[in-house]
Amino acid sequence: MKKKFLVFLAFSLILSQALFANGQNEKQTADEDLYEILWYNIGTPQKDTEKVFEELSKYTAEKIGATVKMVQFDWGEYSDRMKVITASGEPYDIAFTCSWANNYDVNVERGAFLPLDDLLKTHGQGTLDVINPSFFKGITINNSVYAIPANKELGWWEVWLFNEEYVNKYNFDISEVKSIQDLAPMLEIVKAGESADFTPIMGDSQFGIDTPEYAYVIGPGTPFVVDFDNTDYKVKNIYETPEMMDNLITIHDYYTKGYMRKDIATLNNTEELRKSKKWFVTKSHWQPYAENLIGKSWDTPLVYSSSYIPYADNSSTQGSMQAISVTSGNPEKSMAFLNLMNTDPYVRNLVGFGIEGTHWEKKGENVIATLEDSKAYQVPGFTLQNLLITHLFEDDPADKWEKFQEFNDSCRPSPVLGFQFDRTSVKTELAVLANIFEEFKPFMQTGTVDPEEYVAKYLKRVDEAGGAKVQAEIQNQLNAWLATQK
Amino acid sequence: MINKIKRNMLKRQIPLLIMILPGALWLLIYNYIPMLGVVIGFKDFKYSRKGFFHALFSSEWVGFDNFKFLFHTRDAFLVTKNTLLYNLSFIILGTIIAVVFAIALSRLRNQRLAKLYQTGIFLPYFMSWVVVSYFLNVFLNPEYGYLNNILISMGSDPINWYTEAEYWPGFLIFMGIWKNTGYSAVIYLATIAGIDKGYYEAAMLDGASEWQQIKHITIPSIVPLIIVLTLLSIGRIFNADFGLFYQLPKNSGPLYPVTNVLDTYIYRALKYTGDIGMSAAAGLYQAVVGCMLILISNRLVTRIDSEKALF
Amino acid sequence: MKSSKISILNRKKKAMDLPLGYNVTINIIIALFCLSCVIPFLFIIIISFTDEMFIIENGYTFFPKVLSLNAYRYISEAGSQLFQSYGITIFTTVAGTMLSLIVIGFYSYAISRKEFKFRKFFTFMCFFTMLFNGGMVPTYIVMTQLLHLKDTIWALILPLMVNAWFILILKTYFTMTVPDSLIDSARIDGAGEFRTFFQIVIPISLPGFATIALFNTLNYWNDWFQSLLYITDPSLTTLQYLLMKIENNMEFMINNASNLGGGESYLLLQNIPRSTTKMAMVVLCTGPIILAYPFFQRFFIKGLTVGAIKG
Repeated sequence: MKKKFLVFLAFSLILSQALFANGQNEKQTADEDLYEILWYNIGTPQKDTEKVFEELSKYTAEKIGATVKMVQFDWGEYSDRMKVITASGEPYDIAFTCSWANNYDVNVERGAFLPLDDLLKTHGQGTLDVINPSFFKGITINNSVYAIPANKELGWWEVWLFNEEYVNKYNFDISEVKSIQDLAPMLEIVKAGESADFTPIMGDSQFGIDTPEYAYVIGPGTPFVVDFDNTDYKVKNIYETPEMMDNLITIHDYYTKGYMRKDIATLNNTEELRKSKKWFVTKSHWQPYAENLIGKSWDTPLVYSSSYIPYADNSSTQGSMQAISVTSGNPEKSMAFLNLMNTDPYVRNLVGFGIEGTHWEKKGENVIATLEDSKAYQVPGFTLQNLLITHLFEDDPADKWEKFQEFNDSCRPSPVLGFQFDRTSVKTELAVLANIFEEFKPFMQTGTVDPEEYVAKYLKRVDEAGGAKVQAEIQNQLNAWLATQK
Repeated sequence: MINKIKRNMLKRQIPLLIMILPGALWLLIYNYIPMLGVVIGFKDFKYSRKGFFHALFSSEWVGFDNFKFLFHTRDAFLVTKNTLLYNLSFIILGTIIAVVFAIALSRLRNQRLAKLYQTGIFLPYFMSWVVVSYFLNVFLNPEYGYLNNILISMGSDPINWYTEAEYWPGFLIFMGIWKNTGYSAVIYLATIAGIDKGYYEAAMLDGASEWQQIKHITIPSIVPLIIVLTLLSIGRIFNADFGLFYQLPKNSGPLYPVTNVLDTYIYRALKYTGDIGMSAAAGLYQAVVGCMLILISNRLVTRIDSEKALF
Repeated sequence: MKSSKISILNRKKKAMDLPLGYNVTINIIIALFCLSCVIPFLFIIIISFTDEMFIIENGYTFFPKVLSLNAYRYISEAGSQLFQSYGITIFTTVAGTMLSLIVIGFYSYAISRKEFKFRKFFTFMCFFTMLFNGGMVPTYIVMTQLLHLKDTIWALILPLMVNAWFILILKTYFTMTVPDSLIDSARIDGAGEFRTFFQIVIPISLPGFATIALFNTLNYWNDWFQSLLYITDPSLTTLQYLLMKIENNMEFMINNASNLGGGESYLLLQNIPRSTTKMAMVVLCTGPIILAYPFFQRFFIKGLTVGAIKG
C-alpha cells in the first residue's frame, strides 16, 4: 500500500508541475489597441466606481492610450488580498502600498514592485517636479525608488488635542503645552472639578508615549532608536533612555490618579468616550487645518498644541504610495497614468470626488460642494497621489494647500531618513521580539503598570531573545549606509 | 473458472471505484496538487514576474532557517508547552464531558426537554469568539464588570481580571469546552440513537441495572467513535483555536504566559513582516508533529484492537 | 403485529430511562449548562435592541432602560446587499450540503466495504490530506488559474465540498451500525453496490448522515474565508463575510490609527459601526442557522432494521 501511495504522491507532484509550469499568461502586452490598467486600491468598495472610471477612461484613452479599472478592497482585508494576489503571481498594474498595508518594504524585498527610476524620467517627469524630494529619500531602497508617494503632509506632527469646552470652562492657556509633564496641573484641576464618569485623558490600547529626542531606526514592533539631534548615530533601545523612563513614570502617575480608564490597555477604541464628549485631552497625529475635518466629524470643538517640531522619517514618507507591479503588462502606460494623477487636476479630481454634475458641483474657482449622489462614490483621498491639486470645499480655508507646502518645507528630517534595514539575517530574533513587544507595549505605554518593574522585565526578555544581536546588526548596516551618504 | 472469479470481483470493484471517483478527484485537485506548496517553508520566497511556479523554483533554498523562530528562546518552548497542555485538557475533558452529556441526554425521561437542551448547548458554537469576548467583558471588566461589582459589594477588593494570569487557564479550558460540547455531543448522540433498542430490552429482562446497561451496551457501541475522534484530535494537537486564545483574553500582554499558544505566537511574529516562507514553515511544523503523534497512537490502538484503528 | 409493536415502544421507553432521583439531578445540571449557553445569545439580542446613547452612558447591560430599533433600521437601509447575501448564503448552504452528502457518502461507503481492494489506499489518501496542506496560496492558484473559478458561485461551494474528517467519521459510523450480515444477504439477493447503498445503508444510517449534513450546513453557513479569497463581486458575498468584514475593518483601524496622518485617521474612524448595529448583524447572520439543529434532530432516530434481521 505504501508503495502505491508514494507512486500516487509522485504522480500528483508531476501533475502540479505540468499544469503550472506553463507559466502565467501575462496581461495583454503593449499593442496598438487600448490597454486596460488594473489598479488595486484600499477602501470600502463604492457603487459608482465603475461609472466614474468609465468617464475617466474616455479621457485617458485619448491622452495615454489606456483605460483604467480600479478595484477596491476594504480596509481590513486589503493586505491579505494583496498578499495572495502577489504571491500567486496574478498580473495587475498598480497597487496601493505603504508601511501599514500591503507593506512596501516587504514587497520590495520580495521583488514584487518595479524600480521606477527610469520610468519616472521617461513617463513621469511632471511627477518629479511636484513631489517634495524628501518623500523620495524616505522610500529609496538599494538606491532605487519602487513606488510613487502621495504628495500630502510630509512628516509626523503630533499634538495634544483638547476639548475646547473644558479649556474654556477652566480658562486654561494651552499654548505652551509640549510635554506630557506639562499637562499635570490642568489634569488635576479637571479631575477635581468634574464628575466620576469624566475621563480626562482619552486613549486606548494604542495610546503611546513619544520621546521626540529619538528617532526610530527600523519598522514597527521594535524599540531601536538613534538620537535625533546629536548625530552620533549610536543605536539604542529606547526603553533604556532616561527620557522614556521619565515619561513612563509620569503616565503611570496619571493612571494611578485615575486620569484615564482602568481598562485602557485592553480597550479597542475610544468611540464611546468620544461620543459621550466627556473627555479633556488626547493625543493625535495632525495636519494643517485638521481641526476642521475632525472637529466636524466628532461634533466637538477642538484646539491643539504641538508636542514637538514635526519631523519626517521613513514611515511618514511611506504613508501612502502607489507602486507598479513586476507582473504589469505595460509599465509605461501605468506610469503615464500615475503622472496624470499627479499633474492633471481634471484626472485627480475626477478620481477623487467623482463626476462633476453627478457627485459634486463647482462653487468657485477651486471650490466645490458635494451633491446628493456623492454617497455613492467616496474614496480615501490620501491614497490618490497629489493632494495639492484637488479642489477645496466651501469650509476649507483658501490657503489650505499653501499651508501644506509650508508645513512640508518646515518638517525636519530624521537623521536616518532613507536608511532601509535588511532583515534577513535576524528575522528569527525579530519574530520573537515582535511577540514580546505586543506583550509589553500596551501596558507600559498606557501607564497601567509600574514602569520601573516592567521595563526591567521587558529589557530582560529582549536580551534573552537576542536583542543585542539585532542591535549590533542594525548598527553595522547603519554605519555602512552612512558611509555611502558622505 | 478463474476468469469467472475475476469477472465477479471486477463486477464488485467497479461500482465502488465509481463511487469513490468524485471524492478522490476532489482530494487530488484541492489537496494533492497544491501540496507542492509545502516546499515554500524551505525557501526564501521571492516573487517573479513569470508567476508563482517560477518564483518557487528560483527562490533560494534555506533549509530549516524559516523554522528557527519556532524554537528560539524559551518563549517558543513556553507556547509549545501551553498548546500541548491545553489541547490535552480539551481532548480528555472535552471527550468525557461530551460523552456524559450525550448519554445523559439520551436517557432523560422527558425527551422533549432533552431535545430542547440539545439545541441550547449547541448555541455557543454559533458565536464567534469576538462576540463571546464582549460578553465575557461584561463580567470581567475592571471598571464596571459584574464580577468586580459583586466583589466590592461583598467587601473584597476588585481584581483586574485581564492582568492576573492565574485565573486564565481555568477560564480558557472552561470556555473551550463550553463552546464545543454541544457540537461534540451531537456526534455521540447520533451514534447512541443508532443502537438497537432490542439490546436494552433484553438486558432489562435479564435484570441489568441502568449503569450496567450503559457500561455494557452504550459505551462499547460508541468506543470506536471515541477512538476515531480522539485520534483525529491528536493529529491537531499542535493547532489551537485562535479566537479562544487571542480574542477572549483581549490580547492582554500580562496574560501571555498562559494564553500564548503556537497559533497566536506565529500570528504575532509574522504580523509585521508577513513572511510567506515562515508562515508555511510554521504550518508544516504543526502538521508534521500531529502526523507523527497520530501514527504512534494509531499503532498503539492497532495493538489493542486492530479493528478500531483508523487504518 | 401492531399491538406488539406498540408494547415494544412502551417498554423501550422504560428500558432507557433513568431512575427518578438521577433524572432530576441530571436535568438540573444540564439545564444550568444549557442556560450558560443560551444567556450570551440572549444578551446579544438584547444589545441589538438597546438604544445606542444608553450604551454609551451605561455600558452593556441585561436590563436596558431605553430600547430602540435603530440598529435594524440602519441595516435595512443598507438594504439590497443584505438580501443578496441571504440569497447567496442559503443557496450555497443547501446546494453545497446536498452535493457534499453525495460525494462524501459514496466515498465513505466505498472505504467501509471490506472487500474493496483499494480500501486502505483511499482511506490513507483521505487521511493524509488532514495532516499536510499546501497552504492558502497554492490552493488559490488552483482555483483561479487552473479552474478559473474566481468570482463564481462555485468558488463558494467546491472548496468546502469534501472534508476528510467527515469522511472518516461517516466511515466509522457505517462500520459500526451496518451489520455485515445485512450486506451479505443483500448481495446474495443479487443487489449491486449502488442499490445496497441507497436501499439499505442509507436508511439504517440516517443519524450518521444527518450529523454530517448538519455539520456541512454549519460549515457552509459560517464560511467567510472563500469569499475573502475569491469574490470581489458584491452580489456574490455571503452573510458571514459581511460580518467578518466589519470585524476586520475595526481591528485594522485599531491597529493602524496611529500610523495614519491627521486627516486619514478620522476617515477610518467614521466607518466604525455602532456596537448595537454589530450585534444586530450577528443576530441576523446567525439567527436562521440555529433552526438547522432542530431540523436535523428528527433524523437522530433509530433506523428501520430490526424486522429485517430477525426475519
